[in-house]
Amino acid sequence: MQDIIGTSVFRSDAPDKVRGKAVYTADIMMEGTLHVSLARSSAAHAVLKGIRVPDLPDGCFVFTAKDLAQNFIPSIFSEQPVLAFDRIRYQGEAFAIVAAPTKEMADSIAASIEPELEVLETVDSIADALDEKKPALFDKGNVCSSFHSDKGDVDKGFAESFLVLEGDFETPVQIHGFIEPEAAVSYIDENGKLVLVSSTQNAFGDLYTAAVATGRPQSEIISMAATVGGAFGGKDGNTAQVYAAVVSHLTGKPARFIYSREENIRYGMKRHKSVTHAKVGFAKDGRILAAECHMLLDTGAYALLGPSVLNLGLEHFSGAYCIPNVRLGGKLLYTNHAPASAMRGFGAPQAAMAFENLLNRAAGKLGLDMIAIRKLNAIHKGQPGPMGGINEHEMGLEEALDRFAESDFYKEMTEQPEKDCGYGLAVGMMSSGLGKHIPDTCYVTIRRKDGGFAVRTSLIDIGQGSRTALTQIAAKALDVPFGAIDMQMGSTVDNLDSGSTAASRSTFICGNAIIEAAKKIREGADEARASCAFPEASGQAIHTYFAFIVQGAKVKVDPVTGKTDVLWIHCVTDTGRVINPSMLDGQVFGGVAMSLGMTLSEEIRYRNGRSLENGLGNYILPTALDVPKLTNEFIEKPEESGPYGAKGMAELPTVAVAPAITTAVCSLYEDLEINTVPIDRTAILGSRRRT
Amino acid sequence: MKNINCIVNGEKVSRNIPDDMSLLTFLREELGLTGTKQGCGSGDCGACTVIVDGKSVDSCIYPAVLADGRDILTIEGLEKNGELDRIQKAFVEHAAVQCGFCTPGMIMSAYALLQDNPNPTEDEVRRAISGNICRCTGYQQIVDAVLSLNM
Repeated sequence: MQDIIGTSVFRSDAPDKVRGKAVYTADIMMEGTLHVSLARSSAAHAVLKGIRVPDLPDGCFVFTAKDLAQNFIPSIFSEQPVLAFDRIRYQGEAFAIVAAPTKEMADSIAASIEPELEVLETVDSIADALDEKKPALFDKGNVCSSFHSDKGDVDKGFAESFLVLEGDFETPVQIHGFIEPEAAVSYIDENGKLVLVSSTQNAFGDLYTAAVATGRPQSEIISMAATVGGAFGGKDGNTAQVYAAVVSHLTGKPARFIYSREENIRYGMKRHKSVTHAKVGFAKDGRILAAECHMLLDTGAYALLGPSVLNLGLEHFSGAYCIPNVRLGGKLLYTNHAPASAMRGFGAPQAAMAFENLLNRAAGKLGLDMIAIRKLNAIHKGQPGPMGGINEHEMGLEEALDRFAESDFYKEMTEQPEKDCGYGLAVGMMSSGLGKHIPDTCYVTIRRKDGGFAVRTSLIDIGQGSRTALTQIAAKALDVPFGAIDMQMGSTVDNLDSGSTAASRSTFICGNAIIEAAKKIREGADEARASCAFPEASGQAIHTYFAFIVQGAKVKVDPVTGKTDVLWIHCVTDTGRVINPSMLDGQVFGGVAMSLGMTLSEEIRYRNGRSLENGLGNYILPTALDVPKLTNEFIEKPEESGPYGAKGMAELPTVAVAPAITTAVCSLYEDLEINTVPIDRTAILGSRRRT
Repeated sequence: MKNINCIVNGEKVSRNIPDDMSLLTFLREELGLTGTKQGCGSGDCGACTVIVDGKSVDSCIYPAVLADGRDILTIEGLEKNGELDRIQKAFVEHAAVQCGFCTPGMIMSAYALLQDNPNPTEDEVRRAISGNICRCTGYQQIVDAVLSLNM
């Protein structure tokens, strides 16, 4: 029998999805539902002195902070209120929940609730946040968190360098762009329990948040994911969930809250804007002797997962290379912008934009090709990472570079470049797992049932296909056909908390837990539970496992308009053993398209705290005409501790697209250096084209 | 309120509806056909694409009253006797589905293309689905799925 691991099994959820039968949150419609809207602040920064609620029609409700049992959303710092009560910190921050029999009524009431505001000066940029003359969002000031790490003797490393390059790099505020907007429905079931069904990455997280806000015991709440229409980090934490839950709790009625696309774009979570100063020192032969990075991130009005994003971004800055002297520092800053939090790549794309561009410039100046300079410096198992901890697990960067060098893409790039086309490549590295000091355990229960096995976990298939990959792992572990596995995911019922579906962790950690539980079943148990915890990184390192990708871009630039067209992106991935090759390709292609958007067209621009973008007509997501031919190959270097040798990879393909494209564009010009994305086409037009 | 009579997925439908109801709301809330999705409500993302008299339209900005007397096909109407349509099958087999939220609209745009042009080029496929945004797939496997149906 063919090994199911490594086979492109069709996704088990695809038939229902192509039929239109898969049930997403907004597809759940219940009799007597109250539609939820939020009264949101028009000012970005203000003292909130009071709220005037108009007379309400029968059957309509308005709830404010005083109706909540506790008023915070659990997170790293838990400083974000469910409802603003004394201060407004971003435009659109909610200060009241409205519930009404129709959405139109709820919207209309929400618009008529008047906050008494004393407007404050807006902290509207990273520069504003660093300016001590600007108001502080919190008593502690506008520095939310900071990070510092020093390995070796960086100053000596630069002094001994033959070539030192530095630059200031910027990446934009980006939205996740999932096509299903944030959504939650809730109701009280026949046992009096509050049931919360939502588009979410973390059913237990939603349960805890709902318990805090409503005062209900956790045992009186059930939380589960419906089919999730994309998440990418933007549904990791509270979006719509707590507001629906509060309404059902206080009224006893079903509640429904679906974000409009404008709410999603203006007030949904974001990728952090970054301003990064980077400096890298090279020996004459191309060896990197020292690297330094100072990264500033705009986390908006509340920290959410920002502190971890900063730390991960810095850890990944030079992490793909073995460098003796590395200094990393940065600040996460509060501004009056909608909160940024997790987004696919989690700081790594921002860091790669800086490092990989400098590395390619150095290759040019030292007369090395872009593969050679990377092979010379590539990190290997057993070598120390940028913060000193030893990398104890498989790292396939060198093999991925070798494979890339054999690719049709690289041959075209180096031997037969197409006329008027530019080529570039870059390397991305991405950790899996939540990181040091964060509980990172997955629980799985397997139960025999007629003709097969039910496999249960609270982790969620958010669209990435974990249901199918985990079913393949379970089928292998139990030695049964794929169809004998009933994979049950995404509910708090009869499950222990396996944490968020995030950090490229599901395949690895849940796969290992499945294999452990399957052992007990194969020893004769009818039902077995097992857990797997991520091993902690050694030394100062934050993460334990890393996957790698080499990404090459071929571009054309219109000489009249300066518009960049990307013609081809080729990738080689190293993610240990591949569970499902077609699905791996799909993850790679989707991640590539997302970062192509960041490089060419996607950006939220704030003016006095208000975004200029409010819809998909002016926030430009790439279409099938913007995304070119995408190809992917993989090398397989199995990770011994992974499930059948696999490592996590969902975020990886977002990491190095921007520097691959900017390098390709710059290769067409004599003196052009692009340090900012999305690319400003007018900056290109001022440059002299190579002939 | 207005009375409309139309054909939806081959069946006659008659309803009294508010003048300002969108075709999307009519399909989802009046008829319970929730396979058609709302992604933006402004005709920008294509998740709500359905076929009206053979042409693909964004049902979120198409007034339901205009559907009077017309023939409407939604994702639920493609399957015949429990058999997936060939486009649906191709999407499954080419890994063209991830989160699936854009999928019904994407398939309906592909359906409209293939009705008019049974042997499209890659560029024609990309153009035909360029009003349908997908954030998961990078489009490659969707394009592959549609091209696989060339006669």
